[in-house]
Amino acid sequence: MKITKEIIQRIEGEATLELEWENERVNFAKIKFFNYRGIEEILQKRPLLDALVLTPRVCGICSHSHAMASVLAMESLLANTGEVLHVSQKAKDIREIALNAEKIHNHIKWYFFTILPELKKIADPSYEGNAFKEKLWYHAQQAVMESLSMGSHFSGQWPHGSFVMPGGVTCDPLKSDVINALGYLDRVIAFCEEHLYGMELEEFLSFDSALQVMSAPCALAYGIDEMLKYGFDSLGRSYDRFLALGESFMYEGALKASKTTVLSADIKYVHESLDHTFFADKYKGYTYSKSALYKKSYFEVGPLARLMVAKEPLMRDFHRRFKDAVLTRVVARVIECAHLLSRTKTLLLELNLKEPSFSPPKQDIHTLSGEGMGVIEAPRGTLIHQVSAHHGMIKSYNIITPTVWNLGNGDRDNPATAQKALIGLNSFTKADFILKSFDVCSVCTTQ
Amino acid sequence: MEHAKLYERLAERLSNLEKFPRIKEEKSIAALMEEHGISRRDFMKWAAGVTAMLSLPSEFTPLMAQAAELTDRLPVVWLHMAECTGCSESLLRTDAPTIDSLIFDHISLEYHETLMVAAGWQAEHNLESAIEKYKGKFILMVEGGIPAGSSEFFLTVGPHGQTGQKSAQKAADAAAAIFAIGSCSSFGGIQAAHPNPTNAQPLSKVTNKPVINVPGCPPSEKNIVGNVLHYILFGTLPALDAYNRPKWAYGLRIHDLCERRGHFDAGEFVQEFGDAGAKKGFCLYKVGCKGPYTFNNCSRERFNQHTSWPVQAGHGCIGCSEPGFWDNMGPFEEPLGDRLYHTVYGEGADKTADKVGVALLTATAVGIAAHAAIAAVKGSGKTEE
Ligand code: SF4
Ligand code: SF4
Repeated sequence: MKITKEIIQRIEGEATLELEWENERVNFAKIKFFNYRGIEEILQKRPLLDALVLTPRVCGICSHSHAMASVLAMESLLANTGEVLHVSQKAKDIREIALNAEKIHNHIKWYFFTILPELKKIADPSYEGNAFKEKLWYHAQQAVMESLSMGSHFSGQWPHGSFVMPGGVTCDPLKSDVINALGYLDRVIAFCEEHLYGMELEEFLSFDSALQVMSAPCALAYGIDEMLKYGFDSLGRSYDRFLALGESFMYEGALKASKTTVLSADIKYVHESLDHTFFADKYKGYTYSKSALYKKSYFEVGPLARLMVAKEPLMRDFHRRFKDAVLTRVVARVIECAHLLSRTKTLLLELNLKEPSFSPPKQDIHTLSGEGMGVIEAPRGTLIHQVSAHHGMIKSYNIITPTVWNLGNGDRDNPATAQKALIGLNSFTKADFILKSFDVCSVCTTQ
Repeated sequence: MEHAKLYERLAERLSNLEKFPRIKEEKSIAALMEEHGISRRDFMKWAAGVTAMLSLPSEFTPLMAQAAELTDRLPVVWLHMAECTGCSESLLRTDAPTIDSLIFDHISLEYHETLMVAAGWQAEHNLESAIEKYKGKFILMVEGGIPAGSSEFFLTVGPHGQTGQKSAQKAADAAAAIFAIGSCSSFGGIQAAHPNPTNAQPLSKVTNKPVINVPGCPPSEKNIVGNVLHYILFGTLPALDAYNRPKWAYGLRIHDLCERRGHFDAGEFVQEFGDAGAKKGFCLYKVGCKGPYTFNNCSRERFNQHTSWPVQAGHGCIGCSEPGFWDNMGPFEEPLGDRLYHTVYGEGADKTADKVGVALLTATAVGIAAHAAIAAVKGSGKTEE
């Protein structure tokens, strides 16, 4: 049996993909992550609120997501001790706006700077595309920056803004901040309408057939065409099981979907496995990435999962045609981006500045003991923070990132989501692209 | 040195640099700007801004513009160690209309793992060949702390299993100038916080060569690009403080230029997040602001295209450009209070700029009130806004 090892570049951080071949086909795949930092250990014995400043540093791409999961964990800890905080609608909206900014930026960046260059490279291996030297990419870069500037009106900075506290947000935006933020958002929308969707957002959002999208002259249609050319409409299929545990404006409650039936999900069935990690066995382990399972099964999380549980019509149509193939997964991010843009605009327009930003907890955080859990939907999928505190100090802190759901390592008889999507392929190039369709981020996978 | 002499020296250096061949035959910065709709006037305005930021007299603006045009003569290698990629991310969000990012692209970035996402050069130019080719000539920028853990596997780069430490050392040996980008690379960063599970080290611990620290979590894009331009202009290390931070960027405390400073002097503090003082934009010292102990220019340069910064969004500065801040500056949501904190200028940060009642600041909350009272009597309690 032949084994090949390749380093995966053009992702956040670094990963190594080890493929086992049999009869020129991938028989089994190992996804290895080597850059461990130990953030869960570092969090121990620190004051509870310090987690709000520390956890964003898990990832420079999803830093707001971590701050948000962390604050929800603390609010749930307070609730578990009997104090239900009243977080104003305004504070909730501001949190969502900042989080959406992070998601929008991530989706645009990923599509233009990872997916499109990869597709061009598949077409022409000598392609040395440079994001800045082509005008479109320069504009994409600007849209990415503008979506972040939009959010920083509330978060202070990106990455690593500290603006959430149990009870609300610390910022007190003025009308002028909201107007400026809207200006930035409008520019991002204009970019996406012109280049990504090739039509107005509203029109795009009214579609329910893949065919309507595939004909418009735009970056999305270009990507779809290319993927069809190389067979990515049938490659990279996994279990076709989806999970979204965090809240969203697109659906209610935590949900899972399999074979397009949507059922409620319960966080208590989440389980983290240490199999194949260095933590379980220093010698036999081969990665720092844990794996996350739901009822002992692997589920896919992320934009595709969210849209599937939300029964989004356009996504459903893509899914009907291509199942959970790479093409569907890639398109999901672009579709979600459209919803996020329109949702964020509504939030900004309707933000009620008269409400308080913050309602302080009655209990003294410095004396709190108990446990709490925060679950949110980050750009790459469900993110869970679990905290246990004793007299205001962190006793233990556990973080389950979206990437450990998708990019964990299972066994031959029960491979994890991405592993399963790789089995049966006949080329490394395809495997590489399929792995990237999960939006790999090694820094948050291993922390 | 007098201005005229310095001007002459820099001009000479630039004209020498001009004779070097371009690393890649690509468009000149002028052509790039034009293509992106940035006028010469915008460009000069930008150059004037950077000149001021580097504390150079305004007559030096044309030199700054020329330095920016010559960024394609210097190869840059950017390495990722144990980190969150936040610094690269910060850099990529540079100023509108993204002159900084155009400049950074114009710089001959030979190796950068995440940016290559976009650039896609890495297939051809791997790290080793870049180092080999530009030996003694390239600028090395390192992001992230360097794990020197007991296990080889904390950060192994590439399928051949080279440790991060080894590749950083190798690159440092061959570099012309070395910048530690971000608090991780400068001081170890979050992974070096107690109990430092991977034994993460600052870059300066793994090389004997001088390392210029550009700390911050993340550092502002301005500080990253500013340092490159400084190097192109001068060809030497900038004036550094005791922690090897360039004085032009880290010479003042956050507190010195903070928009809430008037409230500090007037003794007007947010007592608790969300209170009436918070709505009025009072000083955040009592809810944990570490601005008086932190040397950096965030209060002037801000983040995300100059949009905002943490203090503007109602959260205190966390002190991220100071060594060991993860362990020394916490708890983050409380005043440092009666603990003495070591800064570059000795114990208690207020010795330098704030001559009034400074020791009181670090003493107690009562001290702050007293300090404020004195300041108010002296008539400096005017509120800004
Ligand atoms: S210095 Fe901060 S932003 Fe930079 S890599 Fe370290 S934690 Fe991330
Ligand atoms: S203590 Fe912080 S908020 Fe107050 S003036 Fe100083 S830097 Fe600004």
